[in-house]
Amino acid sequence: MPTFSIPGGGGGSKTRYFLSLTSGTSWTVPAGVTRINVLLVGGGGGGAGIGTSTAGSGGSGGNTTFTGATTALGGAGGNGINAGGSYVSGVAGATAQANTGDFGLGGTLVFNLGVARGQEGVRGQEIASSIAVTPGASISYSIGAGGTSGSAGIQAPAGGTGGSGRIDIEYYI
Amino acid sequence: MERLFAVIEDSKVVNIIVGVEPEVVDANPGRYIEYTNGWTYPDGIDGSAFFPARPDEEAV
Repeated sequence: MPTFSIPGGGGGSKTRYFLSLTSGTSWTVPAGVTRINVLLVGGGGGGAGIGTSTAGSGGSGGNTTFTGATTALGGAGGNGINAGGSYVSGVAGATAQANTGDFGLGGTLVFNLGVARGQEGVRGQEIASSIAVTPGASISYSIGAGGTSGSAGIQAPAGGTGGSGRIDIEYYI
Repeated sequence: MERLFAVIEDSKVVNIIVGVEPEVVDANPGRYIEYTNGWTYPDGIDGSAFFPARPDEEAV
C-alpha cells in the first residue's frame, strides 16, 4: 500500500493511506482515524444491441453506496435500435473493465446498407465526500454492478456489459 | 468472478450490486436475488431501468 508523509501542524507528521474497495459490504475504520475522504464510482451502463429487426437496450449500472457519503448513481444503458436492411454479419460490443464505472459498447452490425453500431451505455457517476468516522466502527457499503448488455435478438449482435463501480478511500494517521 | 445480485424493494429492482456476502443474502430473503445477464427474473418483480423490457420477437 503506497504511503506518503505529510508534515502536520505543530511539528508532527502524518502518513497518508489510500485504498480501493472493489467487493464486499463492510469496512472497519482503522484505529486513530476520525475523518476519511471517499470517492464513489457508480456502475457503467450496458451497451445496446443493434439488429435488422430486433435489438435490446442495455441495462442501467448499479448505484454505489457508502454510509455517510453521497451515492454515486449508475449510468443508463444504451437504447436498442432496429437498423432494418439485410444482415451480413455482426459482433458483440466490448465489455467494460471491472471497477471502472466505464460503459459497455454497443454491438456492431454489418448489413446491406453499411456498418452500424448500437448505442453505448453511460458512464457511472463519480462523487467525492469527506466524512467524520469513529475508530473501530463498521461502515456498510455496496458496489454498483455494471449494466447488463443489450440482448442479441434475431440477427442482432449484443451490446457489451458495463463496468462495475468502486470506492476509493483516503485517510491520514 | 463476483456474484451479482439484484436488490429488491416493494417488488421492484432498485439496484444491482456486486460482492454481497453469503450471510447477508441468507439473512435477508427476498431482498437479494442473484442474477445473470439475460431476461428472466421472478414473476411479479418490476425490473425497472436495470432490466429493460424484452424486445418483441419478430420473424425475419
